[in-house]
Amino acid sequence: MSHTEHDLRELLAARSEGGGRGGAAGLDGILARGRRIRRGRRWAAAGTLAAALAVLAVLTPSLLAGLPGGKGRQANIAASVGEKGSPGENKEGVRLAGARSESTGKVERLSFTPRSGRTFYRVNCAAGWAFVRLGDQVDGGQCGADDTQWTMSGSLGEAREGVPVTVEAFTVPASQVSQDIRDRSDGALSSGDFDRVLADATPGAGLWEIAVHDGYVLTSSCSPDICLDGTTFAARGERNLAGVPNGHQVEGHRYTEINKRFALKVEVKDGARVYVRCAGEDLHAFIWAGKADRSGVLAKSLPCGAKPALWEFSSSGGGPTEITVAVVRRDRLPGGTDFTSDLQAASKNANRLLGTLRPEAGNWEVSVQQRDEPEAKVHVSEGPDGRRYTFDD
Amino acid sequence: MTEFVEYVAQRNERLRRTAYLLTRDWAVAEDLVQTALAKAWLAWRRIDGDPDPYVYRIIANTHASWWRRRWRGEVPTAELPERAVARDFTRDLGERDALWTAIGALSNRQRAVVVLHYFEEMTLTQVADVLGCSVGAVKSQLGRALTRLRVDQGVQTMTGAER
Repeated sequence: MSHTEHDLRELLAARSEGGGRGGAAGLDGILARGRRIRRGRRWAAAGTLAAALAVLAVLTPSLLAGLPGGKGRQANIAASVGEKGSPGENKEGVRLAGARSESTGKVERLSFTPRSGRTFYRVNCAAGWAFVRLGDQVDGGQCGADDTQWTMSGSLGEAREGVPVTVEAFTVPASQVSQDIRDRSDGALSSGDFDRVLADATPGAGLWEIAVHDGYVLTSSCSPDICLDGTTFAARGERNLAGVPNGHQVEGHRYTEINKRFALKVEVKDGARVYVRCAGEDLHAFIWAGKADRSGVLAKSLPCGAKPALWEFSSSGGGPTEITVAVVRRDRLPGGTDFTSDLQAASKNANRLLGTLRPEAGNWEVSVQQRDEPEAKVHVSEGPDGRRYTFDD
Repeated sequence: MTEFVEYVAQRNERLRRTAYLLTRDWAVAEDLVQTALAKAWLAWRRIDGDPDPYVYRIIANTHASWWRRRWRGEVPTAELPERAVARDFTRDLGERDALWTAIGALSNRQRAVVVLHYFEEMTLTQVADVLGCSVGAVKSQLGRALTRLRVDQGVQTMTGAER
């Protein structure tokens, strides 16, 4: 126990003595106050009911008249109530700012104006440590896959309502965080530590994101390509920062061998996706629809990068779906071999390649996610920067 | 009802002390505890097990909402009254007074973490439960609070003079 902690305990005990006995808080006074609160709640409830009835009285004639769109509007109101929930404790507040990055050792800056005295941040990393700075406040902590939450979060104590601020953040692989920094990451990091870790960091590939919210943050609203166990709606309906449909993991595995095929059998319905994360290594991913045999089709052949390799598919019939995945070293890919245009031929080429390779050590992971949003509400367009989604919210 | 009466009789004094450490005003503390206990009485049947976490949560949340409301209209004074009194104390009392002033300068949230952890002897997990946030957030608030208390000009000067 440090001297300060001892002082604190003594001081708090001493200072809170005195002030009189307070009349045992006056039980009658407490009960009277309780009754007043109850009456106030009843009035509030009555007021809400009256307001609801008034709105219903206004809307009923138009609903009964069957105005175009009337039914749809009703449905939308119901959906929005169900999705957003009621604001309160342990609900995520409105997002004030957010950013995604595919680089480690590179700082991202978010400028925003706090709306209250409670501003929280959430950093999600595919791997590594995250550092966040606002003024004199510096937070550092693990947020990568070793910590299965993929999240480092906290409050921005120096943010003041209505005063614009800029938060800085970056991530680094865990190997670049010294023991000294780890030891002091329980709240004793300085602005100089932030600058030093950043200056010493070797830039690399790594997917991460930061979101700043007014009020609490939820780990479950992390983007599904970082938090492979999936994501859910934020309390106020903000989309995940990746802008992709929400989903949850139905099958997930971590592998320690490459040059080897692994088969998965999953049950998904309608829209689903497969993520293969093999970042940080000079690797290449193969994803087969079905078994990796003569009947299989090579669905995706992609180099591993900061973002996980992705294959999206639709399983209209339901029932078990077979998927096969493999990862190989990129320099083992024979030059000129086609792995993309003729998918059956590509499957044969990939199988032939894997037949010549011996399994070796290498870390990668796969996640099969069921998309949670109705297909009809999700619209996909292909652009120069890849696939984009728009939603009928 | 009997259980509630017993709870008030047993815990009222402790709750008042905690509320005072949060508000630094005995009248406001009294008001805060009465409000918290009144809310707890309304929900008494729904409280399963130890009522303390529930009551402390109400105290912390009610205090935070009062603080926010009052903070907007608050006009900062040029000098804290405690400092003027501190000059007349012995060095030991002066040191404590400086620390008390420094605690008063903490943010509302940081002070709540310090009081619950060091006065109520709650674990960080219990503090997180009361304040409705993650243990990581509590750790970070506590760390920042301790850092601020240690680097506070008054405390640092007096600690240095002792050596």
